[in-house]
Amino acid sequence: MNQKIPFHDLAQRVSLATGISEDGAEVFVKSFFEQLSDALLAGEPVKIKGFGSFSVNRENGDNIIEFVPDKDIADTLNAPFAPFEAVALNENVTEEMLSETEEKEEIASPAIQETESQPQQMQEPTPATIAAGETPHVDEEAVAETEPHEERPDTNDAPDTAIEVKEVLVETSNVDIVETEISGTETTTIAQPSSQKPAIQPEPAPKSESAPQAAEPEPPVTQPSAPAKPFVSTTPLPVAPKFKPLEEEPEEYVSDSESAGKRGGGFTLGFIVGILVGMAIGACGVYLAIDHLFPGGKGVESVSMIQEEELMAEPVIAPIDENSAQEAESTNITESAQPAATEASDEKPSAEEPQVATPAVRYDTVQKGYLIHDMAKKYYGNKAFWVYIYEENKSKIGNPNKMQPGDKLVIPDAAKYGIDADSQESLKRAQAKAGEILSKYK
Amino acid sequence: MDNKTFLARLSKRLNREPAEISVLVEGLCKVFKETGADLDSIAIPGFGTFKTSKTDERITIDETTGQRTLLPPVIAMEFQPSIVLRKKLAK
Repeated sequence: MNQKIPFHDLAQRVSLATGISEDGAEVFVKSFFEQLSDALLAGEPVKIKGFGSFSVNRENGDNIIEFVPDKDIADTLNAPFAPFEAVALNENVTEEMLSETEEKEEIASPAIQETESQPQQMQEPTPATIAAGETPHVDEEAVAETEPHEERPDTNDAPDTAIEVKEVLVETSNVDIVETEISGTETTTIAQPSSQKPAIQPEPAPKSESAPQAAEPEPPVTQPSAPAKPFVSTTPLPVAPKFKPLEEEPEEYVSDSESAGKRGGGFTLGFIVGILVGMAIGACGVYLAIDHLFPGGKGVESVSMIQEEELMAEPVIAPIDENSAQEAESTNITESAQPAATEASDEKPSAEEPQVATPAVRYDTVQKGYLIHDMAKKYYGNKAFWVYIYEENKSKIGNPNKMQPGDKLVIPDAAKYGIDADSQESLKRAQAKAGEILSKYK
Repeated sequence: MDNKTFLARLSKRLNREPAEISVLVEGLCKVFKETGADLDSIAIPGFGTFKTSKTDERITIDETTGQRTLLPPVIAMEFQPSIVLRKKLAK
């Protein structure tokens, strides 16, 4: 409400409405208004169907652009007020309302009467004088506003309603029109009875009248004051029924019982949805916890640290029996559930009898966060030796940068490629090889 | 300039089919309606601002006849040309 939509926002909305790209929408909107301004600068009136018409009028030496929105736009904007029509107010009712206002004025406090008297003096010719044919032509606008708190003392029913009385004297041939605006919430304005009227007196008093004369006009003043009140006051006016829809609007939503039922249903639905969401979050949590507790990556690393230490301590890397390695791979969870102790016990026997074991082949599986260089670090003590694992598996791997989780790789024996994490020469060799491999896939 | 001519010129400027332009203009009008219904204003750089304002219900009195008429609220879209456009027009 009452926001200023900037250009890019407009383009975004047009893009959504038409299905074209945002850039395209920006270009379109920009071109649209450029074309429009070009035409206007050329002095041409432009009429765009569904949008409105623009014309350039010359007033007082200035060119003024006049925009008349299309009926379609005007109807859409005024759709909420479509049920209402201009209604002529009944004069008889006005008389009744006047008598009511007089009574209320008597009750009104003197302070309020004082505030009323000022606007009355400033105001323009009374209807009475106009009716007598004296109608003067006056261009001035007299606007009398009364604060809501001023009205409250005598009207407790409508504390939130502010009433503005605006008199606009339009210079026409013989007809002066007084407009009375009633601002504030529509429903309250209509709903609240006439009690507020006394504060506002839309009646005008002739300019020429001096102060002493201002005291006299009381009788005529009270008469004109009626126009505003009868409208606001409720019953007999034909206006009241017209505005009832405004009052009833909130009731259209639901009755109390219905709304209570709906609220109950909404709560149940919300409760069920909450449980489902909770279960989903719980499932995700369990999944992540499993991933974390029985990892392919970090957990293995923590286990492998022990292995590495052992491996580093011993000159010959003890190959793990193929079968046991395969078992370990196939049952990841089992392996990780039986942490370091089990693996250490597996490793030790193999380390004790390295000569007996044939150059064993180990396997490892690529996982998320656990890639070929992590394997190299795990088995050889340095990530740079990944190239040898790659060499061993290049038929399967292809591009080392595009490995997929689940790829099962053969981990070659360190001796096969002369891998030694402590040797700078070995490291350099590995790095050179890595350069060769990676250059193929650039 | 009528609607057809405007669309033809715009399609030429954008190098797009008139039918396509017509759809885009409809979309633009739709956005204007939605924005206006929210009483928001739209600022077009170099062109001007389209403002939507609401006038509350009011009573009009014809003082010669004393006839009072209750008018319903009205929402109207107004256009305020930008300074740039006004300067161009003044030249």
